[in-house]
Amino acid sequence: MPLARGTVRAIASDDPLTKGALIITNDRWNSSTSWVGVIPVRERVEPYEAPYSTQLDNGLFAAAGRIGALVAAPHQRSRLGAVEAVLTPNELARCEDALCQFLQIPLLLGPAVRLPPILGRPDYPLWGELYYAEPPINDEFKRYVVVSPNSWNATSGTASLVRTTSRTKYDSEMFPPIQGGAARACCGEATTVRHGMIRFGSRVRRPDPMTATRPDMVRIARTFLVTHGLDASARRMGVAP
Amino acid sequence: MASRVSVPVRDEQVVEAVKHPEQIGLPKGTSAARVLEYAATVGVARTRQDAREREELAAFAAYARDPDAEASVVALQEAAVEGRVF
Repeated sequence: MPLARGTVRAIASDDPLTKGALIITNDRWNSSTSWVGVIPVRERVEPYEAPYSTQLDNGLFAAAGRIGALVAAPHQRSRLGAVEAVLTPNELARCEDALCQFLQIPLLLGPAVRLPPILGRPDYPLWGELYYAEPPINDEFKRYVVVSPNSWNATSGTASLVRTTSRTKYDSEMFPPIQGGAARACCGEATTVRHGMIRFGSRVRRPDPMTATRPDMVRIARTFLVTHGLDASARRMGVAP
Repeated sequence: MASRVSVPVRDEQVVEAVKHPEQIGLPKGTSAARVLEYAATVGVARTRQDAREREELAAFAAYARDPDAEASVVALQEAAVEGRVF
C-alpha cells in the first residue's frame, strides 16, 4: 500500500531523538517510486533548527531542516514502520510552511528573486553550488546541488542536497533542466547529509560548472511545489507561480 | 472577457445540475447560464489538473526505473542515519 502524504511513520533510527518520519512527497510520487520524501519527527530540536521546525499537537517537532528521502517496504533497506499518526490539516500546513521557508521558496518565487545571504567565512557547502558527494553510486560520484539556506549550512554541520543527472530521458518539468539543459534536478529525493559526505573546500575537484544559475534554482523551487506538495503553502505566502 | 457560445447540452448530469443547482453547491434558483459557466470553469480546471497529474505519474514512473535513483536514495539514507540526521 503506498505511503500517504501527511502520515507519520515509525522509523528505525540509531538516534533516540528521532521519533518518526512525516511523509511529505505527493501521493503520485509515493505511488510511483519505491521511496518517499520525509521530514524527521524529533523529540526536541536545536536552537538553530527552530525557525524551520513545527511543534505538532503531540509535542514532538517536525524538523524540516532535516528533509530526506527513505526507501519504503518491501525494499529490504526500508527503515519505515507502521503509521503512528495522521497530521491534522493545520499541522500539515504548518509543516509545509516551515519546509517552504527552509527551501527558500519565498525568496525564489517572490516578485523580485532574492538570493540567500552568505554568512561569515564560507567554509561550508553553499546554497546553489554544485558538489560531488560520498558515497559513489554505481562506481561514480554523483553531482548534487545544495538547496538548504546558508544560515543552516553554516551552523548545522549539514546541508540538504538534490541530485542532478545528465540522463535526458526525463523530459518533464518534474525534473527541471539546469546548467543550460545539460542536467536535470531530482527534487523528489532531496536529502540532508553531514558536511563530511560533501566534497567541498578549495582543494577538491568540483563539478563544472560549479554553480547553478538563479533561473536553475527558481525552476528547482517550482518543482518542489509539486514533488513535496508545497503549492498551497506558496499560495499562503503569496508566491505561487 | 466573457465569450458567448451556444451548444447543445446532452449530458444528463449537466441537465440535472441546471435543474437542481444546489446539487453542485450553488444556491437554489441559480440561472442556467450561471450553472453552465460554473460547470465549464470547474470542468476545465479539473481536466487540466488531470492532464498534469498524468504527466507527473509518467515522469515519476520512468524515473523510478533508473537504477541510479534508488541506489542514490539508499546510499544517502544510510549516510543520513549514520550521521544522525534522521
